[in-house]
Amino acid sequence: MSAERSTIKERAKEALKDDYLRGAVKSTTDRLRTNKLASQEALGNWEWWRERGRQIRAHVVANLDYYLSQLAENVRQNGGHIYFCETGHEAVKQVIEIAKRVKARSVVKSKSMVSEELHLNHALEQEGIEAVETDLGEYIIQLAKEGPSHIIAPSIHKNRHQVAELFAETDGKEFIPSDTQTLTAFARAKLREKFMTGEIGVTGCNFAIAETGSVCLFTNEGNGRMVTSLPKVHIAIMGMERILPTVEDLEVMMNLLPRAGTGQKLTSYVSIITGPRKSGEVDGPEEFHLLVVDNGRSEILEDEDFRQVLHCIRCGACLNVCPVYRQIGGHAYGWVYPGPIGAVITPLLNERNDQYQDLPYASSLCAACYEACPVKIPLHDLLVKLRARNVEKGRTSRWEKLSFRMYRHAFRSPKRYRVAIRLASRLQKPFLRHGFIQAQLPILNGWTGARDLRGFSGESFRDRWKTLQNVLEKDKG
Amino acid sequence: MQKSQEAAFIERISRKLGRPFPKEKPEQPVRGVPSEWMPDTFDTEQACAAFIANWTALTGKAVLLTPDELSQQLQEVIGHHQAQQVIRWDDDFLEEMNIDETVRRTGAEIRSWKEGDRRELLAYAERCQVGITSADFAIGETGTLALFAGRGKGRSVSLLPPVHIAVFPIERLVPRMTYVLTYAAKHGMSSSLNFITGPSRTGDIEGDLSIGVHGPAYVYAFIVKK
Repeated sequence: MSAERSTIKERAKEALKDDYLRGAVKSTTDRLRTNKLASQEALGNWEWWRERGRQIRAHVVANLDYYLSQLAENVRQNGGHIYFCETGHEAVKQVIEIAKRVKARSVVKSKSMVSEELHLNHALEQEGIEAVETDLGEYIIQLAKEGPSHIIAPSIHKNRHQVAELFAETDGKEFIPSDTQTLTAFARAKLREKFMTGEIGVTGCNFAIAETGSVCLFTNEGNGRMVTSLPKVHIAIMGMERILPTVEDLEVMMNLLPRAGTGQKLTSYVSIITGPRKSGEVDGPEEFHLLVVDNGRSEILEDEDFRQVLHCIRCGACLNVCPVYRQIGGHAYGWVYPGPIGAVITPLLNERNDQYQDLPYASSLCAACYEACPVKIPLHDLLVKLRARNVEKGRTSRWEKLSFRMYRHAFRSPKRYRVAIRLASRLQKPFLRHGFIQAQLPILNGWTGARDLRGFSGESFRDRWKTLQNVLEKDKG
Repeated sequence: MQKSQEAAFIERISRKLGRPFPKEKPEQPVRGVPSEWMPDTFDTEQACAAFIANWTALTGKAVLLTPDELSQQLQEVIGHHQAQQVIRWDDDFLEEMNIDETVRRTGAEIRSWKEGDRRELLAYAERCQVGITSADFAIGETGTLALFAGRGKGRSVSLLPPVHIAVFPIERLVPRMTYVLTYAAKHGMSSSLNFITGPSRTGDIEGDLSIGVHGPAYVYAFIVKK
């Protein structure tokens, strides 16, 4: 993932120059959002389902220690192995240890956002082990050596011609036709070989079920089924909060996740994997390993407000409605998770890294993200809270500190307030055109760069009140 | 060693939650969908009609037919896809429907998924144009097949060939997912339980829907009513 030391503002500026990116992101997010609205309408009682989803997620996170230990018991009961990894580094070490033990040369991967946090592919390649992304979108961005720019549509920023060029290059060909069917068929043929020969399948985990020790995957392409059916070893990697108490609770998520993500009633495949293959079965893995990854999550648990961000089911709905994401796309957020959820979770998971603490400002606080969220996470509130935290920790510019100090000073006494307003209305004069400030003032250009700011009125309300009061009293009399 | 790492991990979570590890199983305020969601009785024919409508909307083909019609339809589909090799589940209902005989009548070769050399069986399934399974349940509401993996019921049969045909009796139809999940919870999970809702698909290139990425592009559901 891009670790360059730039600010969200700089990255956003770059992204805004890319007209193709903006067009592609807009049309895909429009479609996803429209489909979502239609399918939640079709289900009926969407608000009721959202509340149910929220309750289940809140209960799990509030009792996470219990459910993790129940999950561990049941995974072992099913003949699987479970590992608890405090850091990303530990998780990577664990995967490599398994890969070395089974002498794996090739790992086939189904989409996993948490593995992006760990830079797993890079680490495997360092060990001389090939890591192949098999979700079409992930395959595309892996060939392009980029990271995902949307949680469920990772290659949203690439057009078909760019994809055709990438595929041609991979195959040492001059040209490949850029129609979707041809491109899909190309990926199918290439990746089929990999599925048949890969020794290890790595997947993410949409939900783990504590009561049964299962992991559940929602997929459309079938690659998740391939990597959990053909290789001899299956390693599932999950963020530690991705649990449901029972398999019955999964039904609520089956109604929420696909509808919120793509507007499907259900994804083409929902697979519930419980341990390795049983005796008498021919396919399926001989070994099942589940990695539970903390990687900064437990820090979030302490604060009950921020805790809610762990309710997230990674559907991507908040991205599709966000006026900021829709303009700048995913890469501008600078880390694994883009959009409103990224703007909240990235600074929290990288708490000690100042580089990411500007993300909460990449929001208009319109709360469309909250409205779209299938488990009702108040992302807009959390963005404000993160900004407040930045102020407490002194992570603000000198200008901002100075202006608010002046603001506080002026607003503390009526007299000072009056003087300040009078002063401001006089000082603004050189910049006023038809009652608006149009000039690019250094401190105000956040506003005046793209629109005009209304100037102070010459007369304050308090001044006008005196005459108004007289008029009113006359009217009464 | 590993156990203590686990203990430390869970201890840290209890600490962050600001309380000791719960002594008892926490009381769930809500669990799954409400019980009204799953009535005791339902109309199978209605669930079947809903399944056919939903499966068809996803570009699948679903037909309610008699055993005789099944034989005829199967031959047509195998002919249509010019299948030379077919793999099927080792399953009682498929045996009862004489699937092997029907398939062989088209001139195609058919093998069933029996214990044996894994590598050889997978290679064969990969070469097949058609995979035939039964279905443990079919869900009307969403147009979904539920396949429980097990002995004779390979995961690859409904996955590797480009054409998947599911043949099952109408009695396997239920209106909602709830029936399958409560069944699974009660009878124990299979190593792999797959819910299949239409063909393999993707929208990863410009959001353009494309069918048959890694799994089957053509999906048939033959629902048998004796």
